[in-house]
Order: sequence, then structure tokens, then C-alpha cells
Amino acid sequence: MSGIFDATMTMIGHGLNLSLTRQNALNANVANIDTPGYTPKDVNFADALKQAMETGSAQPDTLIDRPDKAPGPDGNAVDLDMQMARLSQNATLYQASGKAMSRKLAMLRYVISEGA
Amino acid sequence: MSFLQGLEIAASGLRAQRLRMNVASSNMANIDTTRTANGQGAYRRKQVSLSTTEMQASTQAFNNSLNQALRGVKVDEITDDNQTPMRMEFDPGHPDANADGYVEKPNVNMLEEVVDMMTSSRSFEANATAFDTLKKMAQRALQIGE
Repeated sequence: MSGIFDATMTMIGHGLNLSLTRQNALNANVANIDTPGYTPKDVNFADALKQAMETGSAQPDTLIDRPDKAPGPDGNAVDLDMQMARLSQNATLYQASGKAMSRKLAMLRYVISEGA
Repeated sequence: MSFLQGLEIAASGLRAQRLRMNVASSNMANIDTTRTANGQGAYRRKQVSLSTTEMQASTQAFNNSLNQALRGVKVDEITDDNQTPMRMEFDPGHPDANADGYVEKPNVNMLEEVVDMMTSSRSFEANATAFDTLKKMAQRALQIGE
């Protein structure tokens, strides 16, 4: 983005994108809660956002393995409570980023319409 | 990374848990069945094996390496439980009793099935919540710029 769209909006855009990636990863963890040998996936948000700002797009290694606990007898390391808490946190972050983007656009509109 | 893929993953979880529930229902319904269709004796407890599966994106454009890293869940197979011994009940008047008067009953344990049903019910709810949350996110994204 350039011209009238500033770096903040680029960052919010990457943030929205990463939140969605993370939400999809958490969804996959919940779906595989009873799959033997499954290790939960997650996104390290701060690192991934920094990387996205530098390179301009989300990288495939954004997704990391993040076991919630020592694997049980079936090799599954998903903890439902942890996943649901993160699911809720991440969705709220997404809503906030969306709101921030809306506000930035509203400010632009205000200027374009000469304060009308 | 698209919304649809996340929704499909949650849906795969819903499907797998519903099938686990169906299998538990079948086991409970057949807790006293002494004859099966193929003449193989009493009913054997069925069990479900789950495995991860790659999700196919709806269009090739979304099929990037990030999408491929995430896995949904699928039911690999439904197998007979040949580990747990069958129940032998003494009932000489029963038409399926053997020479000693014992009837072979299915190796279904009611308590185990109820616990299975409860865990799959909870997992189903978790998947439904995950689906709903992602749907709300998509709706928020549509409101940007309004």
C-alpha cells in the first residue's frame, strides 16, 4: 500500500491475515482433539507480524508445533481448555483489528469529504 | 489462508465426532445381540480410528503451503474389537447356548460406551464453537469500511 494508505494500515492488514491463519490452526487443533499422535499447531504472532512487515507476506514457517502438555498414551498433545481460551482471545484480537481498520478508513473518508 | 478452509476443518471435526457417536449408539443398541447377519456369532464391539487428513482448498489459488500445513480429521476405519473377551452368560434355555449351557454375549461395556458418548458430545460442541467463532470473524471482516 502507498499514497493515501499508510504503514499502520499495512500492519493492520498483516495482523488480520495472521489472526485468520492462527484461527485456522486452532480450529485444526480442536478438530484433531482425539487423533492419535497429533501435535497442536500455533502461530507466534509477534514474530510472524515482524516477518510479514519485513518481507511483505506471511511465510510458510509461520506455523509452529506447540504442544499443550506432554503427549498422552495415544501421543496426542491437545488440551481443549487451552485451545478454546486461545480461540476466544484470537477472535477478539481479530475483531479489534477489524475495528481499527474501519476507523482508519473512516478518517480517510472524513478528509476526502473535506470534513463533511 | 482462507476462511473456508478453517470452516472445513471444523466441519471435518463435527463429522468425525458425529460418527463416533453413531458407533457408540450401535454398540449400546447391540449390547445383547447374539446373532449377526453373517452368522459369525454374537455382535462384536465396533471401534473408530481417527487420523489427520489434508484439506483440499476450493480453488487452486488458495492451495499454498500454509494451507497444506494444516490438517483436518477423518475417520480412518471402523474395526471390530477382538481384544476384549466376550461375555459368557449361563442360560441353558437360550437357543444360542452351547453344550455347557453358556451363551456368548457381545463384549460391549455399557459404562465405556457412555463415557465415549460423553467425550464425543463435548468434542462436537467444541468444534461447533470453533466454527461459530470463525464465522463471526468473517462477518466482522465484511463490515470493514462500512
